[in-house]
Formats: sequence, C-alpha cells, structure tokens
Amino acid sequence: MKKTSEHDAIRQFMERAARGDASPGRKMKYDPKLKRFVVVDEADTTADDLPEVTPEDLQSFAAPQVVLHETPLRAALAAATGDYALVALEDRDEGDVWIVSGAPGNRVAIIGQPEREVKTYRGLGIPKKDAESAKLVVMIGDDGLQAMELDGTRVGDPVPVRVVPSAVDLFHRTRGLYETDALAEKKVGVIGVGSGGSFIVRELVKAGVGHFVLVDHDRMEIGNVCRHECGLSDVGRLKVHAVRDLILDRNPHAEVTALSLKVDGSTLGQIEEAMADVDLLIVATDNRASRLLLNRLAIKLDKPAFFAAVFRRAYGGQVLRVIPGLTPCYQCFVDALPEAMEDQEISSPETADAIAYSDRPVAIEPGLSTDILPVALQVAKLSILELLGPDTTFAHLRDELVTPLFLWLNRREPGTDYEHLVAFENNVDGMSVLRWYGIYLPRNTACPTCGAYESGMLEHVGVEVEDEDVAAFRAGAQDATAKANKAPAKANKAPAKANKAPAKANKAPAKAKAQG
Amino acid sequence: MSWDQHQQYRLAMERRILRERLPDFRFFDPLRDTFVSGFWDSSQGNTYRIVVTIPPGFPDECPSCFIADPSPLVGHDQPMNDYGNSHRMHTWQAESAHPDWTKICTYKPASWSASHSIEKVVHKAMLWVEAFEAHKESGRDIADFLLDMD
Repeated sequence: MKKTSEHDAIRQFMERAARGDASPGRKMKYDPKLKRFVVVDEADTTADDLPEVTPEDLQSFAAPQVVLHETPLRAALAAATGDYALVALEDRDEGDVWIVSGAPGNRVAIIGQPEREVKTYRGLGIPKKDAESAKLVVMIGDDGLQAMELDGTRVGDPVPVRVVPSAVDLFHRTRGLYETDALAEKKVGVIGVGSGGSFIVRELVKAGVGHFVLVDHDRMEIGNVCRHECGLSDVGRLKVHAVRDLILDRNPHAEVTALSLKVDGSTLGQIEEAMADVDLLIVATDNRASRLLLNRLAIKLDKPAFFAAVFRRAYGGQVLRVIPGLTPCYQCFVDALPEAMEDQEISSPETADAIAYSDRPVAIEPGLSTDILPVALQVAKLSILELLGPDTTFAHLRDELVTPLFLWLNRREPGTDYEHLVAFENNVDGMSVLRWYGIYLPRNTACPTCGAYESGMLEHVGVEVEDEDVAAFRAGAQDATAKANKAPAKANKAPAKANKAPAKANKAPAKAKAQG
Repeated sequence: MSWDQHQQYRLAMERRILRERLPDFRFFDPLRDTFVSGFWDSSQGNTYRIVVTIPPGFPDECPSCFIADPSPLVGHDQPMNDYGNSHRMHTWQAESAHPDWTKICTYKPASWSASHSIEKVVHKAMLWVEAFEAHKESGRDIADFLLDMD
C-alpha cells in the first residue's frame, strides 16, 4: 500500500512537472539511504540534506520541433471529402524536427477547430482506424493552427509548433535596407540556369524578386552537383524545374515560368514571346550563337541585359551590361575584343564538342564553384541595382558601377594577358587578382546588331538594296511580285539558261584533266 | 523559314552584294531551306560547287559551308569526308542531309560574329579549295596552307 502511495506521489509529481505545472508545497528528492526518490513537503526540514530533483533533471530528451506549413494544410482540409484530411509527417534529423507540409500520408490528421476541448478520437470526428495510425492532429481555426499528439486514440496536450503562415513576410529582415516591395513586382528572364544561372536566381529570389522566366534545355547530372545550387535529389530533372522549386522553396508566392528550350534560331520566337514583359534579361548560356541571338532580342525588345561569362578553367570572368541605345551590345564586344570573347570555360562534353576536332580534342576543365560565384554574384548585384532604378537607397553604388564591362580575375593564369600582374600580397596600387575592374568600351556605330552595319556595307560596296532584294525574303511578297511580273519573269528565264552554258563549258576541262 | 524584318533586310543586303561582287553566287529557296550556291574555278582550273546554308538565326548563327561538287570530294589519298571533324583538314563531320557533300570549316560557331558577310564566307571557302588543291598535289595537311583561327 505504502509503495503504491509512494509510487503514485512520484508519478503525479513527475506528470505535473512534465506539463510545466508546479506541485504546490511539494518537492521531489533522492534519498541515497533508501536508494529511491521521495516526495516530501517543502516544510519537511529532515529532508533538507537530500539532493532535490530539479526540472532540468527531469529532461531526458528534447521534444521534436513541429513545423506546420499553413497554406498546404488549409488546402488539404478544404479539398477533403469529409471533415478531416490525412497528410504525411516528415521526421527529419533523427526525430529532432517533425514537418507537416501537406504531402500525402496518414500520420497527421487535419481538422477544423472543435468547439470544445477534445480528449479522444471521437471528439475529433476521425474514424478509429485513422486515429490509431496518426501521430498528430492539427486543428485549423480562424486564429491559426495548433497541434496535439495523438497517442493511440487519446488526444494529448498541445505541442509547441512553428507555423509557416500563408502570408509570410519573408523579407522583413531586409526591409528598410532597400525597397523589397519594389522587387516583388519585378520580372526577370534568366536564360541558362546552370552553375552560374542557378546562383543568380537564388540571390534574386532572396532579394525579393517575385517573377521569373527560366529557360534551359539541360537536365541535372551528377557532375553538376559540385557547382550547381541544386543537388543529388534533382539529378535527372530538367534544370528549369529544379531551379523553379529552388525559387518556390524560398518564396512560395513567386511566379515562375519554366521553359525547357534550347536557344537557337528556331526557338527564338517562343523565347521572345516569353520575355516580352520582363524587366531584365540575364544571359548565362555557354555558347556564342545563343548569346548573339539573345543580344539581338534584348535590343529588339529594348530590355536591359547582363551577360555572364567565365574564362577557361575559371581563371576569371566578365560581366557585360547591355542597355539598348546607351551601351555597347554583346555584338559590339565580340567585334572589339574577339579574343576575350572567345576565352570560355569548357565545363561539359557538349561545350567541348562544339569547338573540338577529332584530331585536336579540347579538354573538359570546369572551374571551381568558388571561382564561378564571384561572377554570378556580380550579375546578381548589378541586376538588383538595375531593377531598383535610380531612386533607391543604393543610388550611390549605382552611380559607381557605370561601365559596360566588368572583369574579374581569380588568379594569374599562365599563358594569358594576366600572367604577369602584380602579386596580390599587400599591393593596393597595381592591377592584381581578386578584385573587379570596370572597363569602358564605346558603342560600335557599324554594329550589325545595334548599329548601321547594313548601310555601311552597302556604301562600302557602292550598291543599294532594291525592293526585289527584300521581297525575295518576305513571305507573301514573292507571290505578289510573281503575279505582277508574269511576262517579265518568263523573259528573264532565257538569260538564266544562257548563263548555265558557261558552267557546263567549265566542267568539260575538269573532266578532261581527270581523264588525263 | 520566316525571316523577321531585320533578317529580311540583312539578307537583301547579302543578296545585293553577292550580285555585285560574286555574280556567280546566288540565293536559292529564300523562304524555306535557304542557301547560297555557285560554281567557282580554282587557280588550277578545276570547278567546284560551293554551298552556304543559311540557318534560321542568321546573322547570329554561323552558316555551314560545303563543297557540293565534286561529290564525293577525294583528297590526296582518301575521300575528304573520311576525315570527319578534322583540324588538319579543316573539315567537319558530313551532315546526314547531304552525306556526299564535304562540310568545310570557314568559321567555328564559337568564333562566329554577325559582322561576317556571306561574301566573306564564300571567299573563305574559295581559300579552302585552294588549300585543298595544294593538299591534293603534295599530300600535306590543309592546315599547312591556312592560318589557325585559335
């Protein structure tokens, strides 16, 4: 009997302590002579010498952190056919965190807020079978969410939760530093979401940009993981989908359009349509043709654009800023700095194949992530400044970063123009590695993209384009021209036949030589 | 093929310049699989047919250049197409659409610029032909008679 009453006293004391309730006027102590715990009155001076059991002593392990994602849980309950929904419980970090994100499952029951305190599954309106498999019940009310453990069919006490709310202000820590609300409405087109592009995207979403159009045709491969923002769990996925999820994991309210397209002349129409309303273009592709095509698109759409490029083995890189009508365009750079524009990182078999010969292979030498990221970070910074515009708390920085070309050097690479730079050491005067250099370059007035190339060429040759020259390449114009000029067209056929004769005559001597 | 407004004018310019500078070369199929073609006699008096195919992204995409006649083109000791992607012979792998045409390297796509005209591509093809004939005569690589782009 006595043992039972001692045991009951100890159990009651421990139960109250676990709930955070004190046992008024009572203490629990350890009696080394009896070799057991005893619960005594606080006024009992005979127990003064006995060591007291403290709340800290009663802590055997930390309860899991429960994280509830409000938006998908509300959605799960709204979509349920009955009065409750079942979702998964994700046990992370060996039980340290329980995440309830709305994924399909049966370990968590979602219900509306009951009107009265509930002690068993019956009060929850959940069938016994579902209550027995569930570990948590989440109650969603007007005031928010709360969770309770389910122990078999008995409802336990409320557990502390962290709620990721529907209308979360993800950027409250940077608000005030600059105008994060302004970036929420901005739309950025990112073409190329490889190692550099994925980093740029991640920084822009962290800064508060709310709308993205992503273009890339590639899939995540194991070899990408050491440099890309996405990891092994994304291998095999299209990069645009993996990076889209990366954006939504930072800002679930972001709008993302993901296009799996290879940039070439045949897809440019689709890309133009997708980019029609972006505020900025970021070109992070790895080949000349796509950069030229996208440069022309930026000029055509009158959109500012940044071109990111990394040199071979990532010994350095450059960022080109194109503001149509104001700065040189990418084609201007190609014509002005042909060697610099050809120096590029060979990071994949595809890039190597594009420039290699079978008897002159090109080694695949991807650079380190740490050597690529300074270039990507500069693009992200410049992009944020461009999106914020002139009336910004960063206006002073915007006024400093004014050149169209920025050069970064990671190291003094042998065989390059930078091999003999002054060593970094404590040098503050000479050009050295690990800092940015702004380079001015004028626009090329004869540029084939942003300048008067055609008129210059025609003047140089001393000819003019005639209507029929243009009509030849315009669909519909040819039929109209043919109908209007039926008689002259037939007459013109005669000279064509006459012109064929000389060609045949030229072939005869070749045949004679072959036979000879 | 649907050329946009700028491409129409650029191609019109190319057409006009060819008519002026290389009248034996002209555009064919201007609204579909557009190409420039013409016959040219080398300094040895041999006639070659040079074809330059115009990609949908021209002038920002690099045109491809072929020797379409003689076909197949035979070098000093083997058909030129047997060399595939060859720096020594400045050739590319033959294309499936024209397996007997020899695809020659006038510009590498990685080095292409929209400021290069079709006339220039044809001139480079002519220079390749001269280098080919030197190879055919001597057995030496075509690369011995042309400058590297790298």
